[in-house]
Amino acid sequence: MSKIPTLPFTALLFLSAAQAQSMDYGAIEQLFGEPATTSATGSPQRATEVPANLTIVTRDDIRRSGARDVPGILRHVAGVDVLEWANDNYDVSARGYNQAYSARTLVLVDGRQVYVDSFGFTPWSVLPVELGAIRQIEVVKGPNAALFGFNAVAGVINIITDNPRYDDHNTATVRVGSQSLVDVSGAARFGLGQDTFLRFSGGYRSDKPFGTANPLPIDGAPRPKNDRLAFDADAVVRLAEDVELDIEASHSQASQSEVSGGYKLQSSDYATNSILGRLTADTGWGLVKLTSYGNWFAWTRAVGPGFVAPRLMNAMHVVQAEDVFSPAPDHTIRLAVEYRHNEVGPRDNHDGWVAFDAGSASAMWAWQITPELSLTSALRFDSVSYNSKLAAPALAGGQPPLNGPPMQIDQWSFNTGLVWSASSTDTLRLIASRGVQLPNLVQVWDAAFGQGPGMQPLKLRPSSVTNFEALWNRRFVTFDARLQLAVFHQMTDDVLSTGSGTIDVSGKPGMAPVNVGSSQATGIEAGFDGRLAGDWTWSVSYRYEIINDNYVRGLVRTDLINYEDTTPRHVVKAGLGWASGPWEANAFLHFQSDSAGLRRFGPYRVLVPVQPFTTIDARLAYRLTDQLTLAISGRDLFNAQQQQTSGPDVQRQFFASLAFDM
Amino acid sequence: MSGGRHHAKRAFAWLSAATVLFAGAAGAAEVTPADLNAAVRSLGFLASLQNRSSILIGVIYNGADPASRAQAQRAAADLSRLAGPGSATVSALPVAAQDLGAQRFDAVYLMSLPPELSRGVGDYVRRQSVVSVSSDPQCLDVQTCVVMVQARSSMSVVLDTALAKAVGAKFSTVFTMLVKRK
Repeated sequence: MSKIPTLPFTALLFLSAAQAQSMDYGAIEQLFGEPATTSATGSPQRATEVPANLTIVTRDDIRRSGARDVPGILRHVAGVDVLEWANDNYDVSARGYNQAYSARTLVLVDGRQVYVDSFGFTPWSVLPVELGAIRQIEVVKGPNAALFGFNAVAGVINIITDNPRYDDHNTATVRVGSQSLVDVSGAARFGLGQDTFLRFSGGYRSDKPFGTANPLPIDGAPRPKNDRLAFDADAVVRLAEDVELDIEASHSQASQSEVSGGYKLQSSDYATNSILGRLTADTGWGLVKLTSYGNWFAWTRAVGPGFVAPRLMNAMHVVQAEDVFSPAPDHTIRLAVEYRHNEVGPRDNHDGWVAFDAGSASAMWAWQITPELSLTSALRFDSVSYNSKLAAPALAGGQPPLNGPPMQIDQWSFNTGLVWSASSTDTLRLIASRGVQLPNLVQVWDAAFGQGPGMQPLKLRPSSVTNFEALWNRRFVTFDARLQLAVFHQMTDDVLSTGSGTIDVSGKPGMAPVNVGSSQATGIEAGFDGRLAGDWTWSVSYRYEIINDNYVRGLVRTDLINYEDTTPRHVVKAGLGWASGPWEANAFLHFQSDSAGLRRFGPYRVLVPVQPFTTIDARLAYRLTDQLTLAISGRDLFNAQQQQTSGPDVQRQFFASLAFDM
Repeated sequence: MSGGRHHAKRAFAWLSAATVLFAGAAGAAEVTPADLNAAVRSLGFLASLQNRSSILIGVIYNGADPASRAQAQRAAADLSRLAGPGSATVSALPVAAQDLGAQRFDAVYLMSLPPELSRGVGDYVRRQSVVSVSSDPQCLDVQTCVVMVQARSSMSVVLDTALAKAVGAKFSTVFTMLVKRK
C-alpha cells in the first residue's frame, strides 16, 4: 500500500555540467541589496521583480519581531491573518478565510510541504524549525498552485532555513517567560573538509495553556502543560564542481491544548518525521533539481482513563523533478513533473485506509518582453486518484474491509503576471491565477463512509480559487519609503460543507462533506514602510475586504463553514523600530474590526461575535557583546486577557531571552 | 513672432547642449564604493574564481585623461580593501587602456572610456579571455564589458551573454537568471 520512492540520484551524476549552485541567498542579497526568492515562479528572482504579491520576512525582521514562534512573526505581516486559539495554537491564512485547522494556505520548509493533507492544516507547533536557523520567510498571497500544486489557494508560506554550505551561522537562544515558558533552541553548522557541510538544529519548549475561561466543549482530558521537541539535521555534499546533494531529516513532537477543527478544546499529541534528498546540478541545459521526500504524521488526542484515544496516521511520499533553463536571454522556462502518494490509515479504531496518488506536470515561461516589461505564465495539471478500504466499525462487525468509492480529480491551475517597471521608482503588476484545494483525506474518508462501499464514484469536487489582482509599488527615494497598493478579487467555487479536521460522527447521514456553493472576496491592501534618519524604521498597512458566501441551503448542513462573517473587514497593522548602538526597540500594533467566530453548540456550529480589538507586541534588546543579546519582549500587551477568537481569550505574555549568534 | 521663434531655437540649443553635457558628466560619473563592491560580488558567481585564495583585478582607464587616472587609482585602492569571492584577497592595479598588452588579470574593471579606446579594450578582453566589469552603461553598447553593474537607487546588473561566451566566462545559472541579459 505504501510506496516509498527511491531517489534516482545516480542519474544526474552523468550530466555534463558547468557549476554547482543551490541558491546562495546571502551572496545574492549582498549583491542586489534585496532578498531573492524562487517561491514566485520556481526561477531565482529578485524580490522586487516577481510577478506575484510577495513579502519576504528577513532574518533581521525575525529577530526584531520579538516572536518566539513562526505564527508570532507572521501576525505582523500585512495581509496575513493569524488566529491565536490558545497558547502555542494558531491558524494562519492570507486574506481572511481563516478557520480552525486552516486549509487554504500551503506551508513549506525549504520547499518541503509541512502542510498535512490528512486534516488539511498546518500544525505549527511541530514544524521542525528553530527561529534562529531561519534565513527568511517568503509569503506569497493569492493562489500559487501552478508552482506548488494543490492547496496553495490563499497563499504560500515558504520558510527558508540557513544553507549549511553557504551560511556559516551558529545560534543558541534561551527564553523564559509567562505561562511558565521555558524555551531552548539552537543551530550549529560544521564543515567537513571543502565539500561537506552539516547543520544540526533543535529545540525544546514547555509552557502552560492560557488560564482563561473556555467557552468551547471539551473533548477528552485536557493536559496542564504544553511541550514541544524538535530536531533537524541537514547535510549538503558537493559531489562534484557541478553537482550538490542535500540530505535532511527531522523529527518533532508536541503535546498541546488546542481548538480542533470541530471547534472543541482538546489536548493533542503530534509526532512528525521526515527525510528528504535533493540533488541539484547546474548543467548545460539548465538548473536541474531532483527531490524526493517522505513525511510521516501521527496524531492522537488525550482521553480519560477507560477510553480509547482517537488517532490518525498520515504518510506522504513525494518525488519531484524540475529543470529551469534559458533558451534565449529574454526567456526562462521551468519544466517540472511530480508524483505523490498520500495515505491515511489507520484512523481512530478503523482498520481501513484512504489514499490518493497524484501525478502532476507543470511549465512556467518568463518572457522579458522589453527591459521594462515582463510576462510570466505558468500552467500545471494535476491528476489525483483516490482509493479507500472501509472497515469496521463503520461496517457491520466481522465483515472484511471493502473497497470504498473511488474518486478521480483532474484539474488545471495557472498563474500569470505582467510586470511593468513604469519608471525607476514605479512598478505595476497585473496578476491572474487559479488554484485548487483538494478535499482533505479525512473529508474523503467521511464522504466515503457516508456513501458506503462500492464502485460508484464519490461526488465530491475540489474547491477552486480564481484570483485577479492589480498591484502597484512605488519607491520614494528622498524619503527612503515604499508604498504598495493592491486591489484583488477572488472567487472560490465548490466550497466544501465541512472545515478541516474531524467532524461530529463519520457516516452519519447529512454529515458527509459535500460541495455547498461559492464564496467571493474583494479587497484592497495598502502598505507603506520606510526608514527615518537611519535609526528608525516604520511600517503601516491597511486591508479592507468583503467576503460573500453563497451556499445552497436546505439540503445539507451549511452551519459548519463560514467565511463572510469570520473575516474582519478592516485590519490595520503598524510597526515602529529604533536601533542605536547596542540598543534595539520595536513595537507592533494590530487592529481589526468586529467579526465573528464559529463555536460548537451541541452538534451544530453557531456564530458568536468577536468584538473589534487592538493588540500590541514589543521587544527591547541590548547587545551585550557582538555575539550575545539580551532581550525582553511581550505579546498582546494591551490587556491582561482579550477575546480574539471564538475560543478562549488570549493572555498577555512576556518573555526574556538570551541569544547567542555567530 | 520670428523673434519668439529665434528665442525658442536658442533655448532649445542651450537645452540640448546642457543635456549632452549632463549626459557626458553622468556617463563619466565617479565610480562609487557601492559600484565596486557590487562588481566584486558579481565576480563571486563566476565559475573560474571559485575556491581562489586571491584574485588580481586590472582597473583600466583613459591614460590621456588625468582625472580618469586619478579615479582609477582610487578605485584600485578601494577594490584592494574588499573581500573577494569566498573571502579571497583582492589586489587591483590601474592600467592605462593605451598601455594594454599582454598583461594577465583574473578580471578587469573598466572606468568610463572614450569611444576611440573601446575597440582596443574590447580586443584585449577577447584576446585575454578575461571577464570585464564596469559601472558605465555605455560599455554594453560598445561591447567591452561582460557585466555592467551599477549601484544607484536600485542595483542594475546586466550580463552580455555573447561577450561572456566569447571570453569563456561561465556564471552560475542562478546568477544569469537574476540579472538582465543582452
